[in-house]
Amino acid sequence: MTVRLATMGMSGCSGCHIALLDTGVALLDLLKDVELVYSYPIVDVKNPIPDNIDVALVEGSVRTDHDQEMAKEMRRKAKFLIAFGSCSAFGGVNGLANTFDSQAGVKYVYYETRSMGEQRQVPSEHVPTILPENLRLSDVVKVDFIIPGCPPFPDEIAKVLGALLAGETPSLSTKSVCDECPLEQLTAAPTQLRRIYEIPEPNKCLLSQGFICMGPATRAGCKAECPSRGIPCTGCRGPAETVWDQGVAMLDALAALEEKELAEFKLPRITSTFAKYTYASSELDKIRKRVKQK
Amino acid sequence: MSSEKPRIGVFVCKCGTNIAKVVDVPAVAEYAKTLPNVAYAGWQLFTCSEEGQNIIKDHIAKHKLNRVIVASCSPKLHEPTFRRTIAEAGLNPFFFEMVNIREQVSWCHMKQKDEYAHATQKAKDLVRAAVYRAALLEPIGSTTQKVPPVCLVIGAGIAGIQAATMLADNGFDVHLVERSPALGGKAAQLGLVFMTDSCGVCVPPRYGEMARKCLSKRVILHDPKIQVHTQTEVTQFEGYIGNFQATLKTHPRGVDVDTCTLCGKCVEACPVEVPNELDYGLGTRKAIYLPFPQAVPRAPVIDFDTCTRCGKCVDVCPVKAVHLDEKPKETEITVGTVIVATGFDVFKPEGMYGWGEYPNVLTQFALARMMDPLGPLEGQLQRPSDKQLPKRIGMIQCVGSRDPETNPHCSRICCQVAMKHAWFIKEHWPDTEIHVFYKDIRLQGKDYERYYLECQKLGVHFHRAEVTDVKQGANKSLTLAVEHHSGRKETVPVDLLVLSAAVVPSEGAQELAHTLNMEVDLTGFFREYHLKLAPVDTTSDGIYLAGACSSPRDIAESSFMAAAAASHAAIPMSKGEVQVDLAKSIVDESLCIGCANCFVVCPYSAIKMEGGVAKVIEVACKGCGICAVECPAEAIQLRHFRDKQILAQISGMLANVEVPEK
Repeated sequence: MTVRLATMGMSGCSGCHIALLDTGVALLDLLKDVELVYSYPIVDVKNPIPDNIDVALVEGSVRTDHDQEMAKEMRRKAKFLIAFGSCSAFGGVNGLANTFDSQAGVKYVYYETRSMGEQRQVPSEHVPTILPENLRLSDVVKVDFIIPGCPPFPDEIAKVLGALLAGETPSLSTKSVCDECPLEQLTAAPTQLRRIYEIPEPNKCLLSQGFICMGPATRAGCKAECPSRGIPCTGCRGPAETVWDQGVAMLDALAALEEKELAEFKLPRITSTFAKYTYASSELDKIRKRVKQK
Repeated sequence: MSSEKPRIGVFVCKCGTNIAKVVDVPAVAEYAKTLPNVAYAGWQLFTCSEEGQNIIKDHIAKHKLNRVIVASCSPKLHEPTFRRTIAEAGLNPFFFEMVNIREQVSWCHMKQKDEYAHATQKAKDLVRAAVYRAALLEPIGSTTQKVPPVCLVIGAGIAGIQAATMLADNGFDVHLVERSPALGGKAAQLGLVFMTDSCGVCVPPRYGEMARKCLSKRVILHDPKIQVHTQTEVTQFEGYIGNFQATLKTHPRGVDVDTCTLCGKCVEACPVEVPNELDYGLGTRKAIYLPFPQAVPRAPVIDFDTCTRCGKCVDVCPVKAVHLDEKPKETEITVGTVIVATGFDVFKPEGMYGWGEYPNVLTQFALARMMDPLGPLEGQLQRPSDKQLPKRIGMIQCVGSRDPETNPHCSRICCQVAMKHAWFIKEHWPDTEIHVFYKDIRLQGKDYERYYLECQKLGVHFHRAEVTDVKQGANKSLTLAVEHHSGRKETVPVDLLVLSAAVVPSEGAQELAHTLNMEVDLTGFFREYHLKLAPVDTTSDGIYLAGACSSPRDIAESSFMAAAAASHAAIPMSKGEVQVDLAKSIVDESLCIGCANCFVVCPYSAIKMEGGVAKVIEVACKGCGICAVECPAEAIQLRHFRDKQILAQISGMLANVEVPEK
């Protein structure tokens, strides 16, 4: 039986679709049993979303009213809806826009940027209206599964789709990135923080050395690609299974530091360091919304 | 997690009128019946009574309850009671949840008469939260820890000695550690102490002896059960009840106590003379000296900071007991329990009433040294400036006490000390005029009023007044500007001014608190576990407090408290083990990333890193949950307060408002 697969992009960079194509040979194997019925980033489509979709991969966050409508329509037509990538799953980097006023952003783009020339007005046709908040897919419709990552790992995409084709329930790792990390564990809490440009001691745990490595709070499955190359994890795969809030958990990880150390370190923004991909779904953003309502 | 379906019983208590006056208790019980998983709900007049507990047991049997909620007072008061009740009915004691509708509801809303309906609603909300949580409770077992019969007593003042001898008489081994070279603490420096007007080194007899004993004659040094370590500090300390490991650092004495005959030749020969710190600047000592005449151990000590190592003492010693090259030594000991009895220090009233600036301004403790017949002035009352007998003496009370800028607490003993000194001076030098300036006279305690009446009879002048200024005039006499509470102002000339300086925590108390993982309160004294219910216990099991280290105390109180601490420490040591419930942190080793954050933040040193993962030492863990909060991988959960249990409780609390996702 052929599985009807659809993919769709909302507000995002199409990077997740590139990752899908990057599954390479595995994709060819998958396509034996798959009919790609709708995928405007990959194949030319102008038609509306077809009915009877078995599996839908939805990339990007919900930023406009168009995104919202498309998400709802896809939900109506798809049996199994997957939030594809961290924008869709957690709000993604786009979510950091929630710390700004969206209308001020619109005004800046259409009135204050030089490239606008003489036409200084917000277009009313052919351009969707921006929503006041950047949302993740599950804020709008029910989501059956997520494939996290910015972008997701091709191996994992193939694994999830393969499981679905085999009629199995897909699963993600429940561990944290540290679990897969090959660096030598130091079992010592950092006593001072270090900047990203500083050169770490090779093959030793980055967090213990004082780099803000989000590994402990981030879901495994990436084989610790970044930390194993000396680059601190930025947490693109969202919170690990047991972690309630990724940013808060990571701040907790620095609890053993002297109180003044974090203040003196002068992070440009706490949100973009500790909730870079998850701000729109974080407890911090929930609090901000409540304050705003009042 | 138990797989059987939860059947919850809710018992709401009226606590006489304590709760029922404000909260509509039957309505709360009726409401509880409507909540999920509740198999029974009812109310009682006193749930904690024998009948109340029997009713709980009956309903557990009748309705096959497997979770019990009591809505009554604080868990601090009766949680152990009800846990025992349900355990007697065959349930695991941790299938119990307590809702505090007395302290947190009825008592705090008692004065808002038109808010009683809201108070009832609040009680319902709290009960609902407990019902949500109770459904997720899990059974928790316990473990045992062996406690060896060895106690470390830190501080050999009145309290430390009392505790050490009591424990030794009970058959326990004691390590008695004292920082200074002589035993006896502050009391040993006093010529006479109230109530008995006897000397400060005269202490209660040991068990079975009738006569009171002089400290110097006590056989403490030769007791096979007590190992005395003078000039010793606790430098490292770790572990938990039954397994405390302490490193003791002993500074060199320079004189062999066993061979010394106390002939005093070394002291005579010593060319170095410095002020004696024990005498508050009134007397001097040599670099090799006996701290005070009755000092125990009975041998001089070398102060290596001022010693010039000229070797004269070595040359004159007839028994070759002086060793200038003695090195500090470290001892490691393992003990089952610890008693902290580090006492207090006298507040230095710098910049106050001319102290430290004018020679004739002293503290009460310096006056006590002066009047001690064995002290530096051999009991002579005299002005430090001209060695003359003072004719008029002023005493100012509450110097550095009950003062928000220095120490907010009452120092407890200064009224008694001033009264004792005023009485003593009037008895021996009846022509002296004494003026006491006070805020309040606080003389509670057995027999203290006697001093006050004596003093009044002998003509001591008591002024409820504030001294606003002290000026030194000709002849180094002082003029006090006095403002009476009535508003009247006057100046009072005195020859000698004595300040009743505050009692403050012993020097180094903060460091010791840090080393031993003890808490200190706002005044800097060690914090007891509960002022009323556990005054000698600390937040760390197996560490007890005695004497003035937790609050200013007089000798009698320190003695009581030392006896209490000794008997508390004796409990686990005579049982030989302690039962520890396992409502403690638990590490999911498959999630632990070995970052050691928990190890660093744990205030009780209850976590060790082993094989790259964190391990909880259940006996040491107090269940505070800090590790569970900070764990970045959320690999640590606190049993009985797991995330899901707390989130369920919050959801229950907000069930009528809005339930957050996840």
